[in-house]
Amino acid sequence: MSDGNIVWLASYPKSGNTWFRIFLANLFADKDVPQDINKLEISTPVAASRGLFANVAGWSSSALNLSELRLLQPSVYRQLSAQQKESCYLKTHEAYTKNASNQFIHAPEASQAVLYFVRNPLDVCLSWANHCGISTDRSIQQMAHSQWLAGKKAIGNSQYAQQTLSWSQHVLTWTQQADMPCLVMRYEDMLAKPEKTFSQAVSFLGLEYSMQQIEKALRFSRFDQLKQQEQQSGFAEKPDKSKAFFRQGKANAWQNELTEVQVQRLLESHGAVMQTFGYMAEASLEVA
Amino acid sequence: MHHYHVYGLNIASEVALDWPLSANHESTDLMIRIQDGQLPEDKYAHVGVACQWQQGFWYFTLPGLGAIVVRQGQAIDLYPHKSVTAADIGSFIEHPALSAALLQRNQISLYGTAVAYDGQHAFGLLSVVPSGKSSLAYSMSQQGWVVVSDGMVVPYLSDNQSYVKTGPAHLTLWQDSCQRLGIDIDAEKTVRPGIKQYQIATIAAGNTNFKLTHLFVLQSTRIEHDQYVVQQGLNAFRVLQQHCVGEPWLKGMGVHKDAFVQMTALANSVSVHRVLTQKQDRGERMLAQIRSVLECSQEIACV
Repeated sequence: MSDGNIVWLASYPKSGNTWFRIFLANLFADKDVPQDINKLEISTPVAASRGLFANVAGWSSSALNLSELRLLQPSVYRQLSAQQKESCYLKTHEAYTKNASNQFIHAPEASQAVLYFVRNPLDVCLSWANHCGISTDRSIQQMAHSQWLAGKKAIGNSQYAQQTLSWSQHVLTWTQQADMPCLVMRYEDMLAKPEKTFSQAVSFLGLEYSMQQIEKALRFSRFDQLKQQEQQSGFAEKPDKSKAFFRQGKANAWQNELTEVQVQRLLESHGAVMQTFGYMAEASLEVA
Repeated sequence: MHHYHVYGLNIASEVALDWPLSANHESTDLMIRIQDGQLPEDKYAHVGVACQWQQGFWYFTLPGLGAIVVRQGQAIDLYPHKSVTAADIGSFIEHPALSAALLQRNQISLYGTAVAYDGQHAFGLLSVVPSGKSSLAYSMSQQGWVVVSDGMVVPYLSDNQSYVKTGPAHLTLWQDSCQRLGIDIDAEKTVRPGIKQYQIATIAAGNTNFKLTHLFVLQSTRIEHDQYVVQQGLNAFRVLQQHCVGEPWLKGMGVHKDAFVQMTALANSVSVHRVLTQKQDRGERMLAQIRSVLECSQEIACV
């Protein structure tokens, strides 16, 4: 582990980050009932939250433009890390990039480790389209955009825009960095082998919980449990344009929903990185 | 030299600001000065970009802007970059630097907007993040209520009663809020070049000492039902602490004992309410809830 106190929960959007945060909240709370998804007792704030900036920097970010915010981000995370006595978990959808002062936004000197969540981009594109209320083709286009800024049109939002870059660039910037220890969690493994995958993450984070506690936290954060809670009382993180945040929670939904042309476009953009994470074989088989 | 009176301070400034003028040129609480040359305390130069809170010293530097230093609550010193605009300087003085100066003077300030609902009483709308508080204040001002301050609420205690200090007579609204409220943005100026926020003039609140009766913590949410909770005791204190401007609040309250006392007094003397509303039509929903609270307190006539 590195010297800082920040543990990054990093991912391209719709790759299992929120699911893991809810698991972590259930694990830490260790209660006999599931955590209310709208009132998690353990905070895992979004790194690009204006509230976090205000709390750490001590003043509002509203007078700053995005490039100024990016210049200040490393300093904010350094201050946050210095203020913490224990690990502090921050969610980020930003790629691991530098600002105009040639400093890494995510301040490696303030970081402890990164859990990186990766999901088959063929499924991500469908989930992202639903999340944003856009067409699948538009989603594919955004995922291939090398300078993509998520949330750039949201003025006055509680989060400022985040530089996600393309899906492939996002994955590579995080998984190829050597500044902090990184555990890659495949969404498909989280679904297929939850006990093993989540236990590995707990162990990687240096947390001491029994298998029984991990299984309980997993039970309380199962997809059907989250979907039921959202249906009953809504979910604060659901965008306006999306019908539901917790939609299917499945792997390989793309096989029924993407056209051959759409699959080809995604393979052309991301095939090389998909190969690295074991997604290419399935896609190639299916297309063939 | 320009002379202003905001948040209870007599300010002498070498920079022209869009603030209420002061007739008092004799006693000055705070100086705003433009300095030439290098910062004497340039010990943070190696950091490149920095914002540092220390006891009696607040330092902020940004490429293209320059540096701002606030000293002992007595002076805001500007070391401007050559290309910096007056609007850039003004926006950083009005909120971060002025709130730092107030804290150095042992005066707390809260993220929010204060509105007077009659000639004597006011409430605060609090939120750290964009939540529609300035838009709501604009709607209220259209109904005859007076905006006391925007961006920060500066409470103070006198004879066991909380009051709120008056800020500059304008509201800062994001572009989409202006459009929703039917404000012609072509006729308005942005807060800073490149920032889609507009400064909208309001009726000046003057030097009235408004009694602070309620603080409403606003939050818009996507959950199914609106929620309304009255906060009391330690919960009220915690809510206010979360909305207090200034990094020392995160480190405990040892540094600013007077501020701790003020916060405790505020939590005990003002009614604190959390208002969670669905995002759709949140302005109307929040206004209805606030009206209802004020009516129940018999502080405005029942409608």
